[in-house]
Amino acid sequence: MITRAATAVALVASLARVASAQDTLLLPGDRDASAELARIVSAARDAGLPVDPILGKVSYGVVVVHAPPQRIVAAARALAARLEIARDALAPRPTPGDIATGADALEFGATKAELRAVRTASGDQPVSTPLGVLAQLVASGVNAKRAAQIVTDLIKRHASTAQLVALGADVNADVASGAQATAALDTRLRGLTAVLAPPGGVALDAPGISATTPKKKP
Amino acid sequence: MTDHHETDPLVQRAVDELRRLPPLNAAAVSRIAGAAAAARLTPAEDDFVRPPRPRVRWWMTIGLAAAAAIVGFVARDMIPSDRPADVDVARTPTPTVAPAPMRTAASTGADVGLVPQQFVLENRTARSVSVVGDFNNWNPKATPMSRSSDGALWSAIVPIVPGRHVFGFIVNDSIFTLDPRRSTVRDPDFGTNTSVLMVARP
Repeated sequence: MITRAATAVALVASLARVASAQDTLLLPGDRDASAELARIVSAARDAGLPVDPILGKVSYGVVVVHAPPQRIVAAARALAARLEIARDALAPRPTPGDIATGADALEFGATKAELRAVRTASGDQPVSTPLGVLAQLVASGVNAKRAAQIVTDLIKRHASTAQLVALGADVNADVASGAQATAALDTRLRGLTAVLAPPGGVALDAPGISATTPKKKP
Repeated sequence: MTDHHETDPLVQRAVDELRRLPPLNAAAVSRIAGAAAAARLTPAEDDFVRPPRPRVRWWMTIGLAAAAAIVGFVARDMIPSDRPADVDVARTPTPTVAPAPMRTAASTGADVGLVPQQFVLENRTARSVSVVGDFNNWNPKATPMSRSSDGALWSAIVPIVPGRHVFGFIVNDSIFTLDPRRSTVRDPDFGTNTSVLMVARP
């Protein structure tokens, strides 16, 4: 195992270094798959996408799953596509972490429009945590559209990242204990919204509302 | 000059002596200043007038370091310590602190700080345990965990960028184990389970 793992780590390191060479042996025993992986990583890098998540997916496939090379290549290709969609949805200035977490949310069924909604609600703040909670809720079985709506609403009510994380973790734990995802979300959400500002009350992006410059009376 | 000084006989005498000196000759002052400037040493030349430093041979340095190490080793039990001798560290292992992993500030932008997260696994029979995840590229050698002195608890602290992370443990260099303290999620690409960790911004 440790030899295999060390080989995997070495191949991923070489993948990162020589992806442009496109013909280096990256997956043991499968030169074609290795070359294809190198092409995927190189193309992602050329497109300005973060390649660390792709390399991590390859490592996971080799070290933990022991997946066949072609399946690893397929997973890497699918992740590269999700990263591109997430990057576009989170424009104009997503961090690599935002893009990676956005790709995670897409993996579990969120859509590009839902990622964009979270981005818009967050303003200039990093969105990796809200998107992570979105991914967690969807992975727990909550409908993606509803999950995105709730996360967006909580951001507008100035919920802290700790509160968002707690919501995702609590719902996940409730579902693991046998609760239905929607019921668990409603219960946990009721407790959280009780301590937050009313909807729209401090939403900075709502039309005609500003927290710092109130409307002048005529 | 103040009245106080003029009334002081000693000061008054000094003033009188100074007044008796001839006036300064400007040409003489200029000549002296020019000669001094011409004779001033450059920094490079200055080295020649410094006293030579004693040369320290490399074997002297190594010898001194070795002697210091020997003295320190011999005297380690003679130096008093604040730590009580009977502290029970059985359940408080010194956790491994891993270096900055993937999805760190380097890869996610400087606006995001790392948040230390402690990973713990109870396994009395394991020979080795390491934590692997998307934060260390699933590298089993990246974050070995430390064992408590009673052998039951393995732990490590990893600085992680805020967000969602998937991870697990590698036991005895071969067995992938989920974290019983964390929730589990299925990886849609491979259909396998991993533990999930959500890290909030501090």
